[in-house]
Amino acid sequence: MRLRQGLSAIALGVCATLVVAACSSATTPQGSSSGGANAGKPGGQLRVGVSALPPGQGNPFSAIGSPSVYVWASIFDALTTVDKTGKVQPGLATSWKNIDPTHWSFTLRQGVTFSNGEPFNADAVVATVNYLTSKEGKATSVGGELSMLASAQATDPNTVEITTSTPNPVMPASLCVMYIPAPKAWAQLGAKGFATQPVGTGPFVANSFTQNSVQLTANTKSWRAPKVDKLSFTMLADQAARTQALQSKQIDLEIGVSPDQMPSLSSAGFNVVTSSPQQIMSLAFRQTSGGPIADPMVRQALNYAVNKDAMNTSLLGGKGAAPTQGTASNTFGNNPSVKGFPYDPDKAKQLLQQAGYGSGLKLSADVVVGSFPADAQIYQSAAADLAKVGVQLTLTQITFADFLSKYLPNSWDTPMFGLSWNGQPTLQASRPDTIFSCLQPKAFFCDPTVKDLLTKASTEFDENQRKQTLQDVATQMQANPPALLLMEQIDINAMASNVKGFSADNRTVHYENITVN
Amino acid sequence: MSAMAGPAPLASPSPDTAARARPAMRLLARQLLNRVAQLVILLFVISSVLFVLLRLTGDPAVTIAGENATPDTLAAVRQQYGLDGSQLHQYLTFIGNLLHLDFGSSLATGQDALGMVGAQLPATLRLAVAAIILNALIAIPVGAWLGSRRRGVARESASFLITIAQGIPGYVVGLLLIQVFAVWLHVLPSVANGGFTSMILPALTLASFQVPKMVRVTAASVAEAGRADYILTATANGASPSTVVLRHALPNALLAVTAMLGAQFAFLLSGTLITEYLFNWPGLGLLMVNSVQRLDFPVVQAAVFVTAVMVFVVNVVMDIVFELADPRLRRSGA
Repeated sequence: MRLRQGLSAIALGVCATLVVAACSSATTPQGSSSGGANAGKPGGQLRVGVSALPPGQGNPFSAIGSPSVYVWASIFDALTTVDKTGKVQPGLATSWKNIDPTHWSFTLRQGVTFSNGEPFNADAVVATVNYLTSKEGKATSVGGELSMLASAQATDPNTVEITTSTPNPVMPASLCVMYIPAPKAWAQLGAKGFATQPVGTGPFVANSFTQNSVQLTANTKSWRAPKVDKLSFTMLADQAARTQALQSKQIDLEIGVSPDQMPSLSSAGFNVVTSSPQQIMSLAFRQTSGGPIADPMVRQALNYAVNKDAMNTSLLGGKGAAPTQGTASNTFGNNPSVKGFPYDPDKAKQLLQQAGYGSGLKLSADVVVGSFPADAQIYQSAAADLAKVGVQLTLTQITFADFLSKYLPNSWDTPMFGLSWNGQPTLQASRPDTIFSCLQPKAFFCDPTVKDLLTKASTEFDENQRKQTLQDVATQMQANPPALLLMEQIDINAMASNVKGFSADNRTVHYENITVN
Repeated sequence: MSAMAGPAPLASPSPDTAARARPAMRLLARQLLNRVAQLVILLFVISSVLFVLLRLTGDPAVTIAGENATPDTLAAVRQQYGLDGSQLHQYLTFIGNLLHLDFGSSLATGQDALGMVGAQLPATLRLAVAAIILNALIAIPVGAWLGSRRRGVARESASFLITIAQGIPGYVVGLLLIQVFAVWLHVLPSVANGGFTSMILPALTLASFQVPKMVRVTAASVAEAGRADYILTATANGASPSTVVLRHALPNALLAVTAMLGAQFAFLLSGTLITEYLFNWPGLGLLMVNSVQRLDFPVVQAAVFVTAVMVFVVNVVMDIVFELADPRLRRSGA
């Protein structure tokens, strides 16, 4: 009797503790944006759930693209941005002109200040370029990406002249990755200090920047002042947990939703937004290593064998697209007359027969999964389709660290590997095309015709001529495919119904336009 | 005694007590030195093995430089971060710095690696302590009840449920708890927000890694204690069943449970990797997962070092607690 009473008391105590604790604070984190107190008035807080935060935290030179861009777009600005149609738009620079093949002049936006009060002017741009061309700067991701930068000079407070070491016709687009930090703050804090105390011209100021979350308040003096008072980013690496956080109203915006969650989120009243990041999933061919993959007929056969439309319908809800070439439709240099490889398993078998592999073929591929929605299923579906034409594809999942270790020296053990055609962030076809060409250091694929065309395009300042040359590259790659093209991928984001004004260009979210009712 | 005499002198310790104390002190000092030596050797071996293993996982220079890095960029990165020397040179430099507890700076953020670990450690310890408390609050009463019951429908059903529960991975438990308490009921947050309530679900998840096992150990220990002679004596003296369990069987059974708590501490810490990842709990586990993914070697080395020290210290403390709790061990001079 006493034992039972004792056990009951303990159970009651645990339950009471849980109930009291639950009642003692709100179930939603600080600054709930869905509360009644904020309804109907400007302000409030936008809480964003992301899969990862920038590895370098607030250091804007430590990485390029996602996931870092999701956070940095709220703090920093670059001279230019590239919109989803591939057009270069003004950022901190309002206009630019090409003086000669290695000199560009940028007119800067006036009246802009950094969040710490420092003025934005030509000296700030010069300081940034000086850092990226320094020994330390060259060892950063941005420094590597902009290795063509040679120097910068302020011709007046609102005009800066940038010099490149080699002709670069896409310099304005390339500079969209060069965020401009406050020069005095950068000089004082350095990369280490900026990791936790970044200072930019963007719509928000970081109050706290840790490994797990970022807390920001509105920079009302920004040239693109926001409509919400607060912004926060929470790292929820597990995709299921991230969706649960949205469903339980602990975040307002989820970046990176699984395709299978789209119907349930939509029916529950959440806004699900899909967009094209202009990236094509593919299995790259290591043609330079010889073997069956060296034969163009084999590579064409593999492309005919995979039913990309069916994969899109069943795995991405029809929101993706079967790729016709290595670039998506809004990428500069995409060739609309190139129709790609329709699903034709009979033709695939015929080509394999002609190539001498009518009795079957064994191939293998190393792949990284988790980068795109349903990517693991897409690879597996492709393998299943290939099996129907007698090609046995063995897939091995590797980590991203493994991928980099093999990718850069081209030291793969397999004849194929997963690689995306990534036009981000400049949306120039030359970028991914170069990777699948002899121009890539330690090239895994080499077509001399493509190499000559890309070399020509790299110094062609006439936009129409350059576009034509890049379109010729796409035509050549149709005849001599460097990859098994699988899917034009999508970004899926979801938000609570009270979040309005969401838009993103190449994963650069325009936080200044978002309101939370 | 004369009125002018001072107070009587304090009784001196008997010669026998003093004689027993000296060897005991020497024994304790020797044991302590042994433990310290063990710890130093352990840390050296762990750090060295980890140094090699980490470098087999990949090249941090390529992670820093990015997938579009040119050979020049890679060379610049290696030089910048001291990754350009031979592996032996890097190892010797690492060991030399380790003697000063200098693990270097994070390759990702440039912050002091040991400092980053120290900043995240308290959150993990809070979570671990909460999980241990929950573990004890749930497992001990349930285990005591289970161990004191005769075979029957209730006991067999409970045992069956415990067995099922032991097979459910902690990750699944976490997601289920989030779905029930955060998504459906909206009573508890699933995202760490600094508040006490946000610790409940992670603590329950972490506790779930060990509760079934702890229940079974407690039940077995209580059942075994129930067969001891002193239990028969207590029963014969008229003690009620609850008194027999609570005053006699359970305290003896708790010795085994206490020993298990210490032994399982390392497994508990491994559970924090999954739990913190799931709930964005800002602790050492999450830092370790992120650092391993980024090949941030200095932070991984510092985190594993600190974890090894913690596990070692906890085991030493549990040994001492065990010795203090069991008079038989003290009398035998163990």
